[in-house]
Amino acid sequence: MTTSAVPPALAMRGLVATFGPTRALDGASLTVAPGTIHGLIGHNGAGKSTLIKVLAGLVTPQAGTIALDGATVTGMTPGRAEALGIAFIHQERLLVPTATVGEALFLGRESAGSRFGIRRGSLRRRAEAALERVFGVTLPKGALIRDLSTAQQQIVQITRALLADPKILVFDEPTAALAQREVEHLFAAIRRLKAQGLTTLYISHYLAEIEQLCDTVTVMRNGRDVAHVDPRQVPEGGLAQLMIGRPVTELYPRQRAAAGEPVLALAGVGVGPGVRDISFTLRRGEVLGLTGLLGSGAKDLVRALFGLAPITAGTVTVDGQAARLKNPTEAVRRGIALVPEDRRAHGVALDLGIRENLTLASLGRLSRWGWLDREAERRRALDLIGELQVKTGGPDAPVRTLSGGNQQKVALGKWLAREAHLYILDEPTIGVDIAAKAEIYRLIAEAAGRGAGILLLSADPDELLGLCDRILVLFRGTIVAEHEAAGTDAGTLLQAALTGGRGAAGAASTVPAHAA
Amino acid sequence: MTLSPRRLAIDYGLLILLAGLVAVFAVAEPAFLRVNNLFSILQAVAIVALLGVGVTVTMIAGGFDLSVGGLAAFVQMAAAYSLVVLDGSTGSAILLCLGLGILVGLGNAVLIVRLGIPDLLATLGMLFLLAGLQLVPTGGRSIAPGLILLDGSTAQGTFTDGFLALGRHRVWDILPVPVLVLAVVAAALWLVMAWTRFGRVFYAIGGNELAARLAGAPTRLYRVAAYVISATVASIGGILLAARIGRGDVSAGNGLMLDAVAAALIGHAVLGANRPNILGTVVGAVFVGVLLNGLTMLNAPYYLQDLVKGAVLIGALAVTYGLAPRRA
Ligand SMILES: Nc1ncnc2c1ncn2[C@@H]1O[C@H](COP(=O)(O)OP(=O)(O)OP(=O)(O)O)[C@@H](O)[C@H]1O
Ligand SMILES: [Mg+2]
Repeated sequence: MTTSAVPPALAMRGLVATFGPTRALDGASLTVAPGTIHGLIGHNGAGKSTLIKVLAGLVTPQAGTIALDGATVTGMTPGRAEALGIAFIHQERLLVPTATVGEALFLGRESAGSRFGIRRGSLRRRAEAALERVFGVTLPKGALIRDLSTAQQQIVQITRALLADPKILVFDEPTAALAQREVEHLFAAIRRLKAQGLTTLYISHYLAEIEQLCDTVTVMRNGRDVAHVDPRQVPEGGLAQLMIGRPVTELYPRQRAAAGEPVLALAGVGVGPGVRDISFTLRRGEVLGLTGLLGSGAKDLVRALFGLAPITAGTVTVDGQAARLKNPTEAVRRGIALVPEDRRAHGVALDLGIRENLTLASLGRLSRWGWLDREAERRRALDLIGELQVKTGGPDAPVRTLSGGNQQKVALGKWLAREAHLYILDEPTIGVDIAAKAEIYRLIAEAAGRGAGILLLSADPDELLGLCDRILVLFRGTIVAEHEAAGTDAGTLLQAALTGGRGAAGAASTVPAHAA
Repeated sequence: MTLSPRRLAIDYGLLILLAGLVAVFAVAEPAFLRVNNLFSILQAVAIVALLGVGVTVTMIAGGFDLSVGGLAAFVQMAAAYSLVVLDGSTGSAILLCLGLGILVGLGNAVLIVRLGIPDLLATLGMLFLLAGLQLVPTGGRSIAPGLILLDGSTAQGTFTDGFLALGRHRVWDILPVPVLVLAVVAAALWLVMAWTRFGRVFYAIGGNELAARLAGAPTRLYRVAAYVISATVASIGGILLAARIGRGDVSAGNGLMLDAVAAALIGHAVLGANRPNILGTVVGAVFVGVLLNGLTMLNAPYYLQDLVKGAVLIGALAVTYGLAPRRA
């Protein structure tokens, strides 16, 4: 058999899907050759998630066809998709919050995991073996899904999909919540399965990942596929231009604000048993990066700073005054703004309108004697929608109807609407497209220029290096390294995050891929 | 934006239906449209509408309050007890009733906000507690002037004229006091919920409490406030109820809770709000009132009432959940 006779593993043609007046898909097509890793990129709201929801049978298209291995499939349903060997990791995490990890991985598919040699033992032992095998991680014993961090939940969701032994695996921004080491594990697993004949469809806004991983790329814009390229043939910045329709110049703002008075000072701070002896000072106008792997304690520290978890040791000084941050209300009153990582769960009220979400943190400024100035509120909301390029039919549409990246923009915009002294940003650009990223970076730099202090949590070394003045690396609950952004590189940061800075300096530029 | 039939059904379906009903009844029975009859309808629904408004406040904050019916009945007995058995004044009876209402609201708040008991369960418990408690002082008997007390003596007090006026007086000989009270309470709460930052926070808490908390709102305080408001409004309903029937009736509260919750749920469908809203609840209560009044005038049998209410409720829910756009 010659290769030209092999039909595509997946061929979607001329798909149209509408939500009320919105045309999410407007004649989109996608062809994926068997045994390849196929990238799918596009701006926020381009229709990527809708396209794969059509494949999953979650959205019924008004027009268009789907063919698998050359055979047309009509009336796709989720059950059908599973039976045909297509597994999905959707953008929204879809796990039962009260299930145990073992149940989440294996329930409903008792025979799963043969490809990984995991078939025997109790549910919990099989779960541990599977997670160890795929990601090299162990999760707390008997933990329920709702007790896990965003990253841990994502790991469970990916492992569940891998255990299904699918023929086609579809990822919708799988790495948004993951740190570098887990990403490497995931890529190793995908490549290993590719060698066994698996076909992968991979959606991401991290264009570097796409270039590194994918054999071919389909670019979507406004509900249509507009380009089909080999990522290795595209010049630097080319993918971004194809997606946005214009070149993205200057992703990171150039000017730096001068550092002023300290706005946040920590001395010997501890949070529970996991985080110990954290000391640093953040000055006005400064962007301070904070990074670390899953379990490094960075998230716990940030939660405590916002009054969501008790600080158990040391002192915190905000604007020169000792602060006991007992609850978020107290933190907000002190001028602290938090953009949480899991924005669907913590950042937005999905059933309220975009306007109501955007202005929630600045109602005081938009009202007099408690009376809302609706006109001012509307203007503020429209400004933010414009600045952040939120793709929507109007300011009163429920946030639920926005694409994933546009929901993130709303969660972030809520805080940009309010001028705080100290912004704590936990992965502020997860899931947003490159044009919006540039805009968010500009807004962050602008806030710093106004004299706010910025604490930026990020797992993306480029983002840290491009935006921060200084970067702190956490490892097992303590600060192990502090770098001037100008005097370090991605490899050094990763090395410190992986080994606690005790590794050999020579190994800094390569990331060890643990998976077999 | 064009108005599709579907959009029209979502936004105006209930109001169009209400107008249609009024037209049909007016043609079939001209007396229906007499101003006096219209105010009788409002008078009849005022108490249910008040309770519904209270429930709506808790629903806006993402909770629920089933205890309002039990509370109104309990307060009604308390008013009668205060007037008849304790021979109290109008003012003291009202103060006692409002005080009891606030206490019950705080009790609900402790159970739900402090102890974390799910709202439905906590307020269901409270409902039973109050329904039982109202029977204790009189050994399960209704309270009317001249009541023989448990110790054998005769109660000395009566319902004062001032108190009775709350339920029976018509301002300018036309506007019943309960309707006036409803208008004032509903308008005040509507203004707060729809036009102030506080109302916005109530809605945000109902949408995603954690997000509201992270935005700096003292969400627990707001949730406590919601239950206290709900209970206070319900106790106002109880006062009006006592004043209307002129005695303490042990069975007066029957059905109040379900009617109030139904009004609040029907209200979701008014003007395409698709969420709990004060105005919608009042419209919902009026809608049911018009329907029942019209059917009674047309001599429809009494036993059809619940059937009709059920049909209206299901129709409204179908509009809210079935027609409105939602994500798959
Ligand atoms: N349930 C819905 N109701 C209304 N509009 C919707 C719904 N789902 C998606 N849309 C709209 O369809 C368009 C495409 O959304 P989709 O989620 O496919 O985008 P995406 O390419 O995945 O974007 P992102 O990168 O932000 O995840 C968007 O404009 C979105 O607002
Ligand atoms: Mg998406």
